[in-house]
Amino acid sequence: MEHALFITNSKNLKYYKDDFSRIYFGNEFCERLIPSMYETQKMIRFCNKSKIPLTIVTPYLTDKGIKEWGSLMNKLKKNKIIDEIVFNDWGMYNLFKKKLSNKRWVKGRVLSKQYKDLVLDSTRKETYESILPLFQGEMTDTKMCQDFLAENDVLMVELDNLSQGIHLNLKGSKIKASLYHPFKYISTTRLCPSANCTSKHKRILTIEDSCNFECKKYTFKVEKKGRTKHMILKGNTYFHYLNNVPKDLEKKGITRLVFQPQIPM
Amino acid sequence: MKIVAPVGNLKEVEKLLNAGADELYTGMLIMKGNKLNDVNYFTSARRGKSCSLNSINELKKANKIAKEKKAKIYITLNSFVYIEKQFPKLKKLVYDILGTEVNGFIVNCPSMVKFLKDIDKKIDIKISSMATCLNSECVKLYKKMGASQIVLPRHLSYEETKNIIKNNKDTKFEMMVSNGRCRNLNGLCHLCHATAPKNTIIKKITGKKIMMKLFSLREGNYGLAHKKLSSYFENKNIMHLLNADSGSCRANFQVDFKPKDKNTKVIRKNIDNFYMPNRFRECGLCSLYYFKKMGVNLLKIVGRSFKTNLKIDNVKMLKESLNLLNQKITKEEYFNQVKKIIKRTTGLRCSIFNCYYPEIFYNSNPRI
Repeated sequence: MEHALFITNSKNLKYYKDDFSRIYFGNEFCERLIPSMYETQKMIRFCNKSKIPLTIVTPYLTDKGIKEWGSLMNKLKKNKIIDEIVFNDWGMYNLFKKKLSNKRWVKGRVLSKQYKDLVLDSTRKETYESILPLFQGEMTDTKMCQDFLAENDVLMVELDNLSQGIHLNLKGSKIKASLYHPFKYISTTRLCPSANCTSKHKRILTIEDSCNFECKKYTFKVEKKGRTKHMILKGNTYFHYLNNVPKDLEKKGITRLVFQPQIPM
Repeated sequence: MKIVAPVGNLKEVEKLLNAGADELYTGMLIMKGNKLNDVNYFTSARRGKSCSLNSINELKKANKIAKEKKAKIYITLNSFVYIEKQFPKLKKLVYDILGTEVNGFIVNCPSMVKFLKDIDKKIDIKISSMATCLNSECVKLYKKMGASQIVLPRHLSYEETKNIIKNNKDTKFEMMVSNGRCRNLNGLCHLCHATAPKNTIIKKITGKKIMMKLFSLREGNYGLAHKKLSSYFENKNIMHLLNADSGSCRANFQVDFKPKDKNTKVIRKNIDNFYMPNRFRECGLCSLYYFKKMGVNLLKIVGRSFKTNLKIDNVKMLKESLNLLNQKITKEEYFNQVKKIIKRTTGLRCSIFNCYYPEIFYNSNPRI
């Protein structure tokens, strides 16, 4: 089992230990948080020094975000320490796959559809046992999806850890999977609920409104009456903390564990 | 621009077409009734008797009515997750649907496009808003795979939408304009609208059909269902189970916060209000003025499981607004007239709380 560390800024390099054989760097949820060249260079220097490969993680993107990300990658495309790109937007994959053909392309967890609602955590398993494989599943379980990914040279998919268990069968397939823990993402939006949360003006945010990067300062606990578990709102994304990593992962085709020491925002 | 309306049952087909709809979309059930404990029940994102046609015979009848009115019908195959076990029946369903000569399918990911194109390359495919096409390149990818139409997600600004359409001139674009506006990106949101376990539990506990009726309210409207259940049950254990088991979409959440910097006070504590801004009928009629300039082809009404009257109202409002656009009318005149249409049809005043595109609401003159 390969272990990777996922961080969103260079300060979190303090979490690095020798157990990790790879570093993930970037943001999955907001194009305003695409890392700067300065931060990326810092990561590259660290990875060079530690002799470990670097995976660049990208968010879902608009045309503007694609342009910005493209200009960053143009400067780094020949860098050998960056050997992998996690894409969370099919458009971004479509544009850069050929330009950056020397990198491995990994389908990110934002594009992986799983039943992650906490409703399942507080429901007795026997009540949905007959449809459990569906609630544990993901499209990559299907041969049709595996064939599509293999045809497009996407040989790894990323998944979130699920409290109801994971149903995945990658036997006989070229595709491998990685599993994120302990933070699973539940929902995300471009109308950031945290943006301007200290501001007095009460207008509903529009897509175009600016923010003051409140995601870097504030974390919200989101609870629902009757539920023992809660969600965490950080920036524009809802997460849940789940630290029980299943044991039989490799049998299912999951060959990498991605550890997030902090909420990846 | 053409009007695309949702169909929840066969009876609605004629009514919606008579009201002015040009195209319809609906789901298809593989089995009879709401068998929530079977994976084959999950054929599309919104499933169940209240938002799908129940048999191929019904689809044939619907298609016949539509063809008489020169309208189109699309079938949704956009379930959040499909697993291998579902595909034999899903494949049969597709063949059966193709036999009825409907116009095409609505799917939400590249692998489903491949699935359909492997069956028949001529199948017309529309990409659901759940595919979250936020950029021009994503549209190009789907177009390359054989899709002919794209439903753009709600979360795009005026400029972003305009650029996507400009960069993909040979593609048809559909924009959502009525109902179902959500704060979250629906293609990337994993909150349950309704869950099978909940209904199963209720059935197990009560054994009464009446309880199922409470849940025949539109999917996701659990707040109201809870209120009704609270008055029905006195047993707290059961209430706890029901509370714990409800879907999270549009539920009321309590929000707490821990700022790193203790000197800073967070003013907006009620994130739940922002989580669900759409307590009223959401409407984007004024945006039609800009959509016409952008080159949007289709206008989508959301809500297959919504009441028929609401859908008919929506179709009529859109039709009237489109007629206004076809006249020589200034932007200000159009906005004023549209506000009157909304007030007359829904009884609601045009407000930010029921606005589909707040950007247009705030900026009466976006950068064109």
